[in-house]
Amino acid sequence: MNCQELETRFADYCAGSLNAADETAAELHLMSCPNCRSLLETWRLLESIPAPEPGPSLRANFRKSMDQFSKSSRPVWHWTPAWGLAFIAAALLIGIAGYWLGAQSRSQGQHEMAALRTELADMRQMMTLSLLTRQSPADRLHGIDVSMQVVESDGPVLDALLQALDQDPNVNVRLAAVDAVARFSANAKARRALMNSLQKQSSPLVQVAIMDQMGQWTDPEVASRLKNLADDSSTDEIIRRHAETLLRKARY
Amino acid sequence: MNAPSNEDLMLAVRDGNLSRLALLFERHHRALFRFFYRLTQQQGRSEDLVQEVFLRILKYRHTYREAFPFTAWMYQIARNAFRDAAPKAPEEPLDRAAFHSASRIPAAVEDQIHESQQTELLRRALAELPEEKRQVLILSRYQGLSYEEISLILDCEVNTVKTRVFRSVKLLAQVYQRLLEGRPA
Ligand SMILES: [Zn+2]
Repeated sequence: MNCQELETRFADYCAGSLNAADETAAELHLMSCPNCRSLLETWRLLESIPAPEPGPSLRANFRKSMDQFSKSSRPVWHWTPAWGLAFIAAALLIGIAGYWLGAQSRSQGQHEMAALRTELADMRQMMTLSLLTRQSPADRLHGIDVSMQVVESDGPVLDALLQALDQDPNVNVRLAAVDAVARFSANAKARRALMNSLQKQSSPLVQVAIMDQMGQWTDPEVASRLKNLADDSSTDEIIRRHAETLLRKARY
Repeated sequence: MNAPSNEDLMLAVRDGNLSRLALLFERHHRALFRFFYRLTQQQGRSEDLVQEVFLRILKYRHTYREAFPFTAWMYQIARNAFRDAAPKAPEEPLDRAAFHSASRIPAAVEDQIHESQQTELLRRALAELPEEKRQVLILSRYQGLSYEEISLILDCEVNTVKTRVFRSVKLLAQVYQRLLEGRPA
């Protein structure tokens, strides 16, 4: 391969999408040609330019402007932050991993990845625990956000989330905590805590979010808990109807 | 429970279920922020631009076409928002203490400083590139996009994207080399 041929394959080489033969040829050329090598080094060095994370006000402002937008246009907007946070975890993990893998040479990649994963896991746990104790609701929301990437299902993170679920004064934080805890619903402790929290919640929004989660489990206790709610005349009207709907849907 | 695709969510938003935008925001606002930050080097302005993109997604939701990759559509909007926003005076530059006091730094940390100096010079070289080349590099190097997706964003052939990546790196390497040697433009 010569310089001109590399030119047309450079982008694919950087993306790791050349076939094996072309890749070897490209590597041979790169070894012998300092000009082309300097281009590759520049491309690789780009990775070292840092970019910060957005501040917590970004999410808060987004919610504010969404509210304004929906008020000014049509009344269909309901802000439901809880379920909104649920899916980013996996995507983020894969994204970060892929980014690092792409940056490493392939042989090194696997080892680096394993070490990186452990390090990230520890960091996330620490971040979650620290953010959840902060004064600002946006920080605590961010903490719950980070917890979405914590894999371990029974440990300090779950405990901190359960505390947020029952005790956080901010309804958005509690809503987010519902989904964060529900992520661990394979764990009986998490399921029990969510069901118990139902009676402690003052906001019907949070109660509905918990009930929606319960509706997805096969836990036999769900039916009896929902029946109790539906039959209790002191239950809030919205909650009672929602319990009935869920019971009908699930044919308990 | 399967996570809905970006495209399904955007179709729902288009058809009036505006709350689904919250999930798209959660998925994409960080990457979008870094995209703008790498373009502008300004935290506040980048956050404003992210906000603007999601507002435009709402406003122009009826123009979203089925089966068009959502991220490509989002970056199209992002590029337009960036183009339309009047450039402001740059915020205070990052801390440059390392450069002013480099001669008095103990040898042990010199390597590290050398490295951060390289990074700083490269950052400046990137900032000197013409807008289009800078965007091609940022999209291809940092945003986790395939060349196919970038070709949709830039509305050109995939091979054109690849050529532009090469040319942009080439120019970047030249500017970087010039800055390393301390030559004027
Ligand atoms: Zn060459």
